[in-house]
Amino acid sequence: MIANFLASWPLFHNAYLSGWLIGILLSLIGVLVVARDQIFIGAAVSQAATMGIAIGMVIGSLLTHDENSWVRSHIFHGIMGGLLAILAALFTARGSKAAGRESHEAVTGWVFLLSVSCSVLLLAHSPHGLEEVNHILSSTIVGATAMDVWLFSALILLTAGALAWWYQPALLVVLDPEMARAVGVPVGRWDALLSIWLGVAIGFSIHVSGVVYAFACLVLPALIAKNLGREIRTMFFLAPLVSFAAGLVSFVLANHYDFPPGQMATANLCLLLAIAWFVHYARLSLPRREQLP
Amino acid sequence: MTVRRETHAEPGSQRNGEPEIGKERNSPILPVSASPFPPPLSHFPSFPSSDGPVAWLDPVGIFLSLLCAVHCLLAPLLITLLPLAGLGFLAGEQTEAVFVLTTLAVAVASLSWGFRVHRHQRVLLTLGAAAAMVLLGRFSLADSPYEIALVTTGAALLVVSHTLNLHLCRTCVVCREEAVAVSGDIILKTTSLALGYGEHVVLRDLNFQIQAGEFWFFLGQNGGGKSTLLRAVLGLLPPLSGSLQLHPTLASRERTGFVPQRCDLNHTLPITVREFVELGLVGLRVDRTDRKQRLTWALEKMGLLGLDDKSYWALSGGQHQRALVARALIRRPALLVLDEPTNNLDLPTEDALLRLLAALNHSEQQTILFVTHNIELATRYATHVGLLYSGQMLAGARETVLTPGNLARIYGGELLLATDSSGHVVPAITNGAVS
Repeated sequence: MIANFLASWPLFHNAYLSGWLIGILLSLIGVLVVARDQIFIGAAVSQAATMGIAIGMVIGSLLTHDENSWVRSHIFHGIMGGLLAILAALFTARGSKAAGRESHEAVTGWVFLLSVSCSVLLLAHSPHGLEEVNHILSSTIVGATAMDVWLFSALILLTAGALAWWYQPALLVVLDPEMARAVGVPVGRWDALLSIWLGVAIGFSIHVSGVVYAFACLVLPALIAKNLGREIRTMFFLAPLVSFAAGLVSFVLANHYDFPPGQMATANLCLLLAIAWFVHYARLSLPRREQLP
Repeated sequence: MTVRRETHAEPGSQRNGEPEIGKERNSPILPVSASPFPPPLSHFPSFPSSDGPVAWLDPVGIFLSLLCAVHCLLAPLLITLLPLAGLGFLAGEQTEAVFVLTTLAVAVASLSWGFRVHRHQRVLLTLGAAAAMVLLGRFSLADSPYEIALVTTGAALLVVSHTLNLHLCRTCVVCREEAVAVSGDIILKTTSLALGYGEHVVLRDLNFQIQAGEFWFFLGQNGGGKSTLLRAVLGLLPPLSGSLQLHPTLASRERTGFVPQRCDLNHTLPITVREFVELGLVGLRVDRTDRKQRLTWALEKMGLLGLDDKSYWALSGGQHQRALVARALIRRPALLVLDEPTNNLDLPTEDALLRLLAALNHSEQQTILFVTHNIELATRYATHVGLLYSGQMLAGARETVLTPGNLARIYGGELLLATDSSGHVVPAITNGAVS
């Protein structure tokens, strides 16, 4: 099995590396998303990125018939995907709890459904476009390039550096914005920054890995780390580790049994989460049993 | 309305079959004495000695001031003179006059730091020294375009080095203590202040001032504007009209601590007491040793020492509230703002919390703003009271504000007046919500 994987390395090394790097990047950001208990944002933002790519394709086909034009290139589609992801993240992450305003869940649901429906509707009469959307939705990482590897490496370095430097303000904004405001942290700016970063990470990832894998890497490793860790700080180490380990095993299995790697990794992460839940509940119940006479 | 007087029971005595305060199994760690007033200050741990506020005529304070001056002098001198020396070396010209001038300017600007004036005054002094340096250089010492350029560069470097120092010096042992409010200073002053949301005016024409070391209680009925006032003090709500001035040392809110009514954390997150309390250090530059020292001190004050590695969710309701206060205390605030922190607390815990706050107020000269519905607490612990009613506030010393007449005017219910063993009036409302 491992020999097969190593044999496929020269052909797919960019895809494997990109997949692992995306996992590490999104799991780091995912800790903040999970800490805020806004898990569904990941799905909504991923779908919005897909809609952005669809919009990019429509714009490209309207502006020119030249297949080599930059507005019909993957770069332009990626930029549009990132842009829509940022907008969706800004829109959903700032959902208010104030009386008389729509709930955060409702806004997120609206963004998700709008993106799902519009990304298909926009390309319904474009066979290639619809194929591209299906390709994104089906989560395949095979098409990743060396450029993607460098891009995600840089994004990980930036994210890890920013988290190390601004760990406490970021955490306080996420956990207790009222207290953060009271001690002079500009919560609005932090919210916007976190949303933009989430949008950028998902926007770039979605074009390489697809919706399912990106969403899975955003929330599942962080949820696993939450159930296994004893501190939030631990989650920032555990989540990327889990994501990388699950990606490593999943890509080997997917290569051996000829399964799509994105779905394989997602299924494995789901399995790991179930195990983490079990461990967590077992840990909670153990002291109670010890107290029994 | 009838006004009655009756003798109030001692808080430490048996009441209606309730357990004796401080004696029950899960009582707060700090003992509660029979007296309703705070115990002697020696009962409470003080600030760590190395972090104590620096007094002006204290020899240690003078030494630390000189140390600060040297520290603030050396860094800018190096930052300013080394590049100048490098430029001089490259140009191969002798520029003693420029060096003497630069050294003098840096020294003047730096010594001002040693005297611990406020930040904006330091900036003005630095800019003044730089301007004087340029003018002197231009019209007196420098006699070539090269020297004029060098003097200008030196002045620019002086400003840069002191701007850097303005940030670096926040970690200096002396400057860090600068913000400790001196008793007698006015730390908050309002003039014709009106507060509200959009068109809705909640409070109007507020005129009061708070001095360092005062313990203020803000009382009033629901919707009376207590929390609105606190939000304005914390800078979360801009005034509709009038002004609210804070002492410059509190403007950056580094020395402000806030205890909210409750903390809506995500209940599924793993978080230890230490991690929770350390969140209070946001915005402060503290090294590892100081962080540990502050944490131990705050946990000790709140009776949570030894629980720092425990899950925050394993704490009881009262311990949660104390953890919230510890999170505010770890900032070592000169101004501590508490928004109904005794909600959901049982009597012993409430009493112990108030004693701790009173002790902090006495020993550390911390100014405390405390919002509550509990008049009894105000009569025991407040030095000053703000009574909010009908969009206005009656503010002043406790004895002058907390009178039966004022209370009856605001709460409008049947008033019970009680006296404790020390002869202090302890009012309570029976028909109103407060007791």
